Amino acid sequence: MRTRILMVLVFAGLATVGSPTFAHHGNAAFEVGTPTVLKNAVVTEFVWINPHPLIKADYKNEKGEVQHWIMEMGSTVSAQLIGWSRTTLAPGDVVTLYVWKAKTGAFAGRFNKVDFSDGTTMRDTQTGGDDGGRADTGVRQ
Amino acid sequence: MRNHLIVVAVVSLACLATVTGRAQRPGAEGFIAEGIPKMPNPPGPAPVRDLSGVWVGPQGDKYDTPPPMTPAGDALFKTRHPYGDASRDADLGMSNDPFITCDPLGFPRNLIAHAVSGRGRMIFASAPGRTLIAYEQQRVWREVWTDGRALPKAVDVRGMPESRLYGHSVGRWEGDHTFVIDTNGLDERPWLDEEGRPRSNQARFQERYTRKDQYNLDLTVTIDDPKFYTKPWTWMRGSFYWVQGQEFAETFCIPSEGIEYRDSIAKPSGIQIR
Repeated sequence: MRTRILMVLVFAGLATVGSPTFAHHGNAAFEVGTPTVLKNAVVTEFVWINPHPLIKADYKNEKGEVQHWIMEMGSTVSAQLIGWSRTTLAPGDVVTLYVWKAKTGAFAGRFNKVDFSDGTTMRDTQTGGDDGGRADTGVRQ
Repeated sequence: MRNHLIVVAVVSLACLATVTGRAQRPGAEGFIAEGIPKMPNPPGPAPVRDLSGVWVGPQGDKYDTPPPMTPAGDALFKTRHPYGDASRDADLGMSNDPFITCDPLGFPRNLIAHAVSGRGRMIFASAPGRTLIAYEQQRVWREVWTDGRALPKAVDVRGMPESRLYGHSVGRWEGDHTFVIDTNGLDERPWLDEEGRPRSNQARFQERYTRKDQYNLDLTVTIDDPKFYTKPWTWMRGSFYWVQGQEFAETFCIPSEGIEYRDSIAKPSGIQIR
């Protein structure tokens, strides 16, 4: 009985999904080109999930208004292969984020790269020198 | 296709950029870090009869045009509604792709780069009498028997094995560097590919993994499925590379994460999930 109830709950949960969730998508929703730069943004959450990790950050614009941003990365699998992990970003980190903004005008978009306070940079899988962790990197280039 | 081209273009342009500081970040997985020995560079020769280790791919995978389907194959194909194919499905929200609801991809679709979110890792390992291939996506594995046994002559009939989502497999070496896997006995529910083409419980696949050198592995997959296709064909060609650090990630399709993604970023961004 317990198993049957569990199955019902699982299927009910899937039914609430309604539209596809684990689907691939392109970048048509974003203004791909010159990224929006969020200087000295404060990371509020780094959500390490499939199909795409999410970066949430607060950015204070030139008027002093705080914008709550959310942006997605490439696939989690590919991000791992170029060095990203669940702990790459943490709440409170002050960073500069580059993002292709959503065409809807929401403070949302496709992550491009991040400049850390120590001067280092990490890029997204589709935006920078992605060797995917090849063992023979440097051999063929 | 258009999105693939965009991705390829973006990656190609991005490759021109210089990436700095990436390896210095703490906790960077998949990179050579302190304590992990560097691989010889350039790669050494392929070891003899050994694929063991973690590979990433497929890269540069190409798919031949399938032959015409049989009436049975065509009838089943027409019930499939892939996402991202506007020519077949005007309502993109009505896809019945098993991937969307985290149902098993099954073999051989689990080999396709797109199906595993760009690319995935796999491990070749061994156990008595068999080679094991574990896949990062959903942490599933296949058993490839190497003890000389034959594939089942039939499945899902009395006295014979059950069909399986990932099939029944046997393997053998041809020479020192090519491992050949024959697979049959497939459960018919998973799709063959992203388009929703079917593959039947009468299908027989052959994978040929050729280790070119220490770090590079080529794969060719052929299919003979007389129930659904009018002739055999080479289904896929691709390559895999040996990954630094030999890490193997945990990559699950989790419905609750998909829901979070949809609600927190896809909807406000106007992303057309397809």
